[in-house]
Formats: sequence, C-alpha cells, structure tokens
Amino acid sequence: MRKIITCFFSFWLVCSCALASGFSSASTGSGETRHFKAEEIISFSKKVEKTLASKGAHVAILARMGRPLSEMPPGMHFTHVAFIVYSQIQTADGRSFPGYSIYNLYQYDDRPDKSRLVQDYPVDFFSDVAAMEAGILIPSAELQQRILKVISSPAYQALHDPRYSVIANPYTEGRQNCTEFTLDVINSAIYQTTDIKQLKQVAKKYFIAQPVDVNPFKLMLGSIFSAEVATSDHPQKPETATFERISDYLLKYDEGAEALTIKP
Amino acid sequence: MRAKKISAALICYLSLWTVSVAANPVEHAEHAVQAGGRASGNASASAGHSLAATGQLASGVIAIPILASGVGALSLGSAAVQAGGSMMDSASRPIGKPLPITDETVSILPPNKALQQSTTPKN
Repeated sequence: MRKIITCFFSFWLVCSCALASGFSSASTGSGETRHFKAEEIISFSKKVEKTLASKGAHVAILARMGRPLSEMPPGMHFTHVAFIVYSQIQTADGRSFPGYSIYNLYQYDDRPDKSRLVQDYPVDFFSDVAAMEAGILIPSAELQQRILKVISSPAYQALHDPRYSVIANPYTEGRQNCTEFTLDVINSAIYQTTDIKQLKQVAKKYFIAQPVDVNPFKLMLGSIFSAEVATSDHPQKPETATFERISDYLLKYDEGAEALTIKP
Repeated sequence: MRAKKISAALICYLSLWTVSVAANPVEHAEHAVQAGGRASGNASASAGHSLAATGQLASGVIAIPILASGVGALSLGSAAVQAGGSMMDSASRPIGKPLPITDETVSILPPNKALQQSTTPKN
C-alpha cells in the first residue's frame, strides 16, 4: 500500500508541476486586471476612433487585450481582433452621423465551440478589457478598398466557418477563430477570391503563424476538457494567427500599411 | 485495517485534488489563448447596461460602411446607397485624408429596445 501511495503522490507532484509551468496565471501583481469606469471606456474608445479618423482610415484591423498580459502565452499580446470600418451610423432616435463600427467573430456564450459574426461599436469592443491598449493595423489605401468590398459583399459571410477553436490553425480548414477569419478576409481581399483552399495555400506560403507555446500535457487536457480548444486542425505542432503576426504579414507585403498602439 | 482506510481516503482525496488542479489550468489556457470573443460577448451585454446608465450613449440601430472615393463597395439598392446625401459627402473623402467623426458614443442597442425597432441590425 505504501508503494501505491508513493507512486500516486509522485504522479500527482509531476502533474502539478507540469500544469503550473505553462500559463503564468499566478502572477497577478501587475495590476492589469482592473475594471475600468464607464467614462474611461468611453473616453478611450473615442480616442481610438479619432485617431483612425485623423489618419483617414476607412478600414483597419483592431485588437484588444481581453486578458492580462501576465496570463498570455509567450508571443501573444492581444486576445481579440476585428475589422473597424468607417460608417454612417443610424441611431434608435433617428439621428445619423459618421463613426466607426466593428465587425467581429464572437463565440457563442453557451456554445464555445461555435462562433457567429457580430457588428458592434468601439465602446462595446473595449467594454471589458483587462488593459487599456488597442492594437491598430491600417492597411494601404488599395487594400482598405478591397477589404471594404469583401465586408460589404456576401463573401464576408461565406468566409466564416462557425466551428471555433481558440488555437485555430490558419493554414487549415475545419476550425476558425477571430484572427484566422481576419486573415482569411484580408487574403480574400488581396487575391479577390473566396476559394478557401486557395486562401489556405496563400497563408501557408506567405503567412508566418505564431507557435502555440503551451505545455503539450496542458494542451491535451484542454482538448479533452474544453470544447473551445481543438487540436484536430493541427497536423503538426500547434500554430495560430495573432494580431502581431498579421501585422508582420501586412507590413511586409502591403506597402503603405501602418501599425500602431493606442493607450489612454 | 484502519491504516488501509486512511490510505484509501488519502488516495481518493489526492485523486480529486489532481483532477481539480488539472481542470483549472485548462480553464486558464482557454482564457489565455482564446480570441476573446466569448468574453466580449458577455462584456457587451454587461457593459451595455452599465455604460448606458451613464446616459452618454446613443444606441446604434444600423451602421453602413461609407464608400471611399472611387470604390464601389456596396451594390446598388443597398441601405448605404439609399441613405443618400450625407453619405455621398463622406464618400467624396479619399482614404488617408482626415475624416469627420461624431463626438457621440454609440453602443449596440439592448435586446429589449431592438425588439421595438422595425429595422434590425445586420448581425
């Protein structure tokens, strides 16, 4: 019996160490997890809008920090990416004015392995961020025009795959997250096609994904216990698209693209 | 006999503890690498209420991309084209030049209000 206990205790110790060494969720001393006042969110959202307007951006890629940086895996900074589009907004009280609207891929609350396309506004986008920081990627005028064309056409919906995974592989079909969807829309605009196989070939050849630097044991547990973590679309070591890697991609291939960060 | 019972209890306790530890980091893993969509979905609803309470928000019913100069982004007959006047003024502004923007802060319409509208948002 003593041997059994010793063996089990050893296994338990190994498991605990393995799990603890992955995500650094324990380091919460940075103060990044604070909640912001409504006025702060409104002010920051408006600053993002005004910055984009001052640069004459009709379309940009916008990123936010939904989780504290201390909880993010290496190489990942922002948690959510979407398109922000200069629009004519009509309000419930009948007014109409120019502003920015955001085109998101969101998970369903009750079905985390499924997603939908949702349109909202900057103040909604930043309403529950862990840190007041926005990543912005402004494509060239030519690419903005092409993205606008995709977003305003049935192609936008056609590029959406509702089967969601937080670590979706941008090189393969089968699962999609917000960053992969963003990349698919960008490439659809660049190559003017909605042929998903062609878009994946393009991604494989020119886009450099972010390796998911997570303990394999944790990843295995994630794929078992969590519906939103899938490894089925990863034939090899997991990689996923991130705002940073999409920025690298456009800054390399889209002459005139500009990346910036906005803080309060 | 008593030692066996204590040992069994200890194993049981450690098993449960291990499962618990194993599950929690997975949860962290989800949150850390997730695209944030689900968190945002919750946030949109909660923030919509709390921010709306400030009285500083206008509820957006519909938002149509404004055409950039020389771009046929929207098909004829679309809401954007039908919107007319002010839309065309904005459309004359090329990409890269400063754009006019409202000082109003717009948020998505709460579901109960949206149900009262005859026109529904796109998504």
